[in-house]
Amino acid sequence: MARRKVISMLAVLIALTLGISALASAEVTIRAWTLPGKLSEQINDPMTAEFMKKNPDIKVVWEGFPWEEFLQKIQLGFATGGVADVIEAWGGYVPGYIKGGHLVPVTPLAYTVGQMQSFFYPGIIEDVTIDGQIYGLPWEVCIDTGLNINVTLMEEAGIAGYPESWDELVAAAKKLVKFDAQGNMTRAGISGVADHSSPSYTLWEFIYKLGGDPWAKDGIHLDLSTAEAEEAATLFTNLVVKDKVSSTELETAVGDQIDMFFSRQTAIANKGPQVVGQGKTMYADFPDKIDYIAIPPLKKGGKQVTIGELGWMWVITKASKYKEAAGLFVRWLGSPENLLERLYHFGHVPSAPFMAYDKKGLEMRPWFEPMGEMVQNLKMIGPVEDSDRWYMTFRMNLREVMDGRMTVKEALAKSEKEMNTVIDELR
Amino acid sequence: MLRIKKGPKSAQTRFVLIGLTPIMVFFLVVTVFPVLAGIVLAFFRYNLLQTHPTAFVGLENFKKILSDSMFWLSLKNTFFYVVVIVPNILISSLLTALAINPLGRKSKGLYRAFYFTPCITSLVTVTLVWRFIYLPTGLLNNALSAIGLPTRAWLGNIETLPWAVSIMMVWQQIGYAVIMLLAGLDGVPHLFYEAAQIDGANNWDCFWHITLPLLRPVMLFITVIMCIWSFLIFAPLKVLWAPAANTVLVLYIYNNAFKYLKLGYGSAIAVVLFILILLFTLVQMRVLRKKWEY
Repeated sequence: MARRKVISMLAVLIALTLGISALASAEVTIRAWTLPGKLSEQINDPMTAEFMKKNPDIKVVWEGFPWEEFLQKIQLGFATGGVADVIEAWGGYVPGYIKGGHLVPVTPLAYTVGQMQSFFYPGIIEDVTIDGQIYGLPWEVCIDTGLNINVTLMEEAGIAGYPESWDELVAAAKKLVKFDAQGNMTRAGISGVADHSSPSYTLWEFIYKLGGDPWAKDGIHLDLSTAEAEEAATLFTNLVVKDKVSSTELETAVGDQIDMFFSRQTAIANKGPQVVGQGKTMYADFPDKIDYIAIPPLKKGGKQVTIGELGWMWVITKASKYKEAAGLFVRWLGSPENLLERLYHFGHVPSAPFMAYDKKGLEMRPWFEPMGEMVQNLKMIGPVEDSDRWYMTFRMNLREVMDGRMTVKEALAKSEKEMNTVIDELR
Repeated sequence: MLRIKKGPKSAQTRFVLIGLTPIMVFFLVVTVFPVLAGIVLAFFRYNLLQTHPTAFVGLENFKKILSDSMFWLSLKNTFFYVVVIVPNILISSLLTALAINPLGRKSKGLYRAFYFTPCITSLVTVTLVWRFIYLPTGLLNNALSAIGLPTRAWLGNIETLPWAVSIMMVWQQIGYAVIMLLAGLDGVPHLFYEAAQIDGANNWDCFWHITLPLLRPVMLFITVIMCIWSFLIFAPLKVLWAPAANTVLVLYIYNNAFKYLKLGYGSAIAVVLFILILLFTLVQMRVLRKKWEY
């Protein structure tokens, strides 16, 4: 008898629990994936809390994964159907996700096409626009070139003003470089020759600045047999070979330009403004004056071009069961007020003009002042199909030139062949 | 159909089956099936993002490997580690074990723990610590410049990086070999040494004619294990963001499968690596195996 009572009580308890969870599941829960980190949490958590307050029937759960795991998680998620509803994705991989049929357009779920086209810099959304619909809402552009300058070191070396041409930059770097008694470089005049992505970005930027084009007439394959490509690669590799203001060994040994810059192992870091931005957070006590400018035209008064790539953006997955809710959330994250808040917090390269010229943003990060003009002169890298391969190909082959194992022409020919093979495989 | 007879023996059989089945199922699911799936994938063009439809391509992936300069570079770099690390571990662990063996039980135990600790430390942690030692402003360069020797950017130079990584790997794994050799030395009967000394053998004679031959099976085991482990080197080069010119096979497999989305091609390279390791191991066992009995 007692046992029967216990069993019936248990049955009622189970029924109640199931009932409550059934009621609770009338609320929509959407999952969002991102990279983990304090900076992300500090901006995403309060924004998300406010969104959930305004939309009480939508719950948003953020899940963070370290970078290498993040890419694999997304790939596996698409393959198994277990992917999140919203992903804060790296733009370089988004065209692949679109090609694989894994995403739905953010238009009109978040905004209309017209709204997005009037909002963002045109080049930035072109690469994620297919059949008139836009598949990602970008909150930044990736610009990975520029000169992060240690102004204090420049003043100590007696250099007045910023360089306005490549020759002036090299002359300044020669005054800034330092060697030890054994001839090992202890401080680079300018770094970025062995960086993960700077070599490929810089080469592209130089080719365009010289009036050339790395793309062949078909617009699909590379053509690096031109005089401009050879001159661009020569100028870049001469930093090590002839000018001796950079060192592939020093850079590879230290590993990261931010660490190099803030330990004074380089006076000028050729990288995007994140060096200054992240460094100010990671090295808050760094005493030297620092600034960021665009790489000057190769000749004084010459053509100015900045190379960019798709940066971080929000996408909505096809596997999502709650696309409308996901669209509402992306609209919230991508609203002008929230985009500005994100800009104030991260200090990234803005994806829209109103962000580039925002007064408060510029007061917080005065070194971002060149950004507005840089993004106006923006040229996207083009259809490299796989940006990781693009980085690696030029990083490796240009290094062979700098280490004296290849000529510039050989390196360019090899790079062209390798990248064209990648492009053909992935198209 | 399996017929289990009743009785004490059948109870034992039942117990063994029940105990082993979950482990065997786990082993099949986690090891055997993925390995077989990888071998099958090697004959397909397949990527997780499905940017291209999956297609059976036969031996095309293997043909591509033959003309892939990056594969041959990775193979050459991998062989470097095998050729440098394995003999160094063998020699240094043997000398260490011979030095530790005559000590008392407590001291032996302490040295065992001392040498084995790096083995059980995560390779990522070990790499990060050694990275600090190898930095241009790190411990090694500070020590070298203090005694007037030249310094280098050890991890920045394509030629010095493999040596730097090899030294770190030998340091990390020597303890495993030392433990195995100490166990092997414990198994050599003392009466052999006594008999040899009666016959007038000196220490070198005892080592060369008694110790070394009787340690041969252990040394063969260490050689095979260390070769396999060196072929599979991956973590240090990944953690150090080694330049592309220092890529090794497993890193190249990883990049192809998960970065370039070429899971089929990556699987083909993995099959080639598997065959290479298998052949290497068989050759070693054939050439180095020799039974010694007294």
